Amino acid sequence: MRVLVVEDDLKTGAYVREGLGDADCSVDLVLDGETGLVRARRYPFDVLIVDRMLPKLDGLALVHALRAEEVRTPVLFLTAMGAIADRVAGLEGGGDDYLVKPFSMEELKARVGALARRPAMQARDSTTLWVGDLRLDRLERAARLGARDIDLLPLQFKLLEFLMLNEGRVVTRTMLLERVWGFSFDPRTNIVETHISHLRAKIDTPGSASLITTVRGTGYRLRAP
Amino acid sequence: MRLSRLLASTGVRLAFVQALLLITVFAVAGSLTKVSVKLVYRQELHTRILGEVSALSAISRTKGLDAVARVVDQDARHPGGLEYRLTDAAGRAVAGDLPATGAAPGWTYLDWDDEVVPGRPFEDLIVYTQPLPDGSTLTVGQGLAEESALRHALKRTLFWCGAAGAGLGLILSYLFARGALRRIDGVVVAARAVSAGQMQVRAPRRTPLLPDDIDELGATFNVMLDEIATLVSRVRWVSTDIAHDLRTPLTHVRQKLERIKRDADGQALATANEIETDVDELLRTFDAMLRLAEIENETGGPRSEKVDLAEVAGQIADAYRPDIEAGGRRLDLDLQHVEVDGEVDLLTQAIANLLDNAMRHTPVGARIRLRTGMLADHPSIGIADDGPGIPEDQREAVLQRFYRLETSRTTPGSGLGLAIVAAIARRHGATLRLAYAGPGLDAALLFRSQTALADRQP
Repeated sequence: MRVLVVEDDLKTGAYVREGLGDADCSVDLVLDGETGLVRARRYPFDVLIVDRMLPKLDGLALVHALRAEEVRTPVLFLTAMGAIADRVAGLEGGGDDYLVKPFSMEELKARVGALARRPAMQARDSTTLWVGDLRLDRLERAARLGARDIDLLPLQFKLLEFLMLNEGRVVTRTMLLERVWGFSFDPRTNIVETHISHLRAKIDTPGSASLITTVRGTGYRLRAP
Repeated sequence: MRLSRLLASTGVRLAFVQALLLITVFAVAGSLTKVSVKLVYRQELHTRILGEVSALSAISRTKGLDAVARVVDQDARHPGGLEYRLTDAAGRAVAGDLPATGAAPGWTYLDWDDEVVPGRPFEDLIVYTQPLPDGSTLTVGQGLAEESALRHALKRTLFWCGAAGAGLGLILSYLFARGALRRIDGVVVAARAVSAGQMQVRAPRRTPLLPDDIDELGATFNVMLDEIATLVSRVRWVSTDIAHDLRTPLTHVRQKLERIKRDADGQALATANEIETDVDELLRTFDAMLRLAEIENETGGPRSEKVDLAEVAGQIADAYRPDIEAGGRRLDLDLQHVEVDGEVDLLTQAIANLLDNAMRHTPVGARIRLRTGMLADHPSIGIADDGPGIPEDQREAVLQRFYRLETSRTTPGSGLGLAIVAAIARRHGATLRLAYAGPGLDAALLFRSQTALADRQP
């Protein structure tokens, strides 16, 4: 996987390069917006990681220019600008995800992983999702495990749908809060953990391993057994 | 502009006082003029009558009664002249029209009416009676109609001048007060807009040749607003600056910690994990502060839309219910549909913070009630519990940043939760009301009443 990091803070840039390098990514690091734009136009990257405040050309303008040229590479904004308004501006301005500094490497890896698979993922639009024996009918809003109907609450359905769309990949607690709950803040409670454990109780077969595994300190992963 | 407001204005009140004063002055002046006119007129009348009496007495002395009678007959024919009665020693009327006085010599008053002289209008007279040396009696008098007509004319003139003065004064001060009130309204409107967060609004500016007190008030007010705007933007600048300048080094700290954790084991790893927890706690408080600053400043711009409080509350209830129940508490819902203009993510956070508080500050077994609907004409969200509540004297204080009740020092929390809820309420023009739920705490967000909103629409 090829990732372009446009980041003027060298320390953070090097940290990202090192961290993603461990995850078998080849990382290009550039330190200003103009070079970033030139590089992003020329080479086929899988994901762009872009800071908002950059010398020469700021991150928002960079993404705007790329989108105007029909370059659809997924963009993750990695920035210190954490206000709701900044986030809205970033996502409306062509960004696909938004991560506020400081961040943990696991969080970044999970989000980059989710973005990289995006274009190829036809599943996003399909009406039925399959993971092993687990089947989710998105039109009927119904779930089945083998021949057994699973009765899900609306929020549980949304949670399972998000996990299935990201099958085999780690999704973090923050990603779940943002995408499933729609929270733009961090509640100090265990709502994610509690919901996951309720969901497990419904979709798992007693005696066999859980479909949803906990990735310690990072998040969750749904995988066929 | 409503009449009641105008009547209550300083200008119109002053005008009323002035009109009252004017009317009083005219009334007093009128009475004084009446008295002095009467005095002067009577004085002149007395002199004239006494002059005539002494002249006729002289004629009687030198030429006898007949001569007097002739003069009287002649003089009595002058219109507007004096009136006479001359009787001889036996008391028979010799000349003149005046009726018998029957009075002693000297001044007296007489009524003169139709019965005495047909065709003559009723009139008061003042007469002087004097016995003449030959035993006859002479009475000379003058009607007072002229005097009373003069007095009436004076009274009318003064009355109409006073009324016109007072009326004109009232009309002028009404117009003046209306103008002044409109200009003061400009300042009031600006003040309200600014306190509602529209920092750029200013009082209307005028640059007249001679600025009056309202111009001065407006100008001073605007200077004050400029100063506040500068302060606010400085605060904003400080918070975005802090955001950037602190987040970068904190990012580095976190990066180094992760590196340490990768290579460490045993005690070193445990310590690194503890530091990471501390850094995360620090970041959480820092994020909460920035969020608070963001909500309080208008940087976000209005992202308001119609929000159904029941829908938002229902979603949060779904999110929190498993956690609440896992903690051995109960969540009851009473959700009535009611719409407000608001920002969904902020309202979500407000409800979540209140629910979060209810969970953390109540004992196991507590019952939490989440309700939406109309409360005394206000759309509202309420979260009540039957826990220990907040003592009445500390309900104001808990809305302050970093304030924590003595009893909850040991429970985790940034001390910013309620401050953020209060800020979200303010941004929505709503109030956060903390009350006793008998037992427990009843926290409610009361939005502007629908009728008040409808009134604002043109």
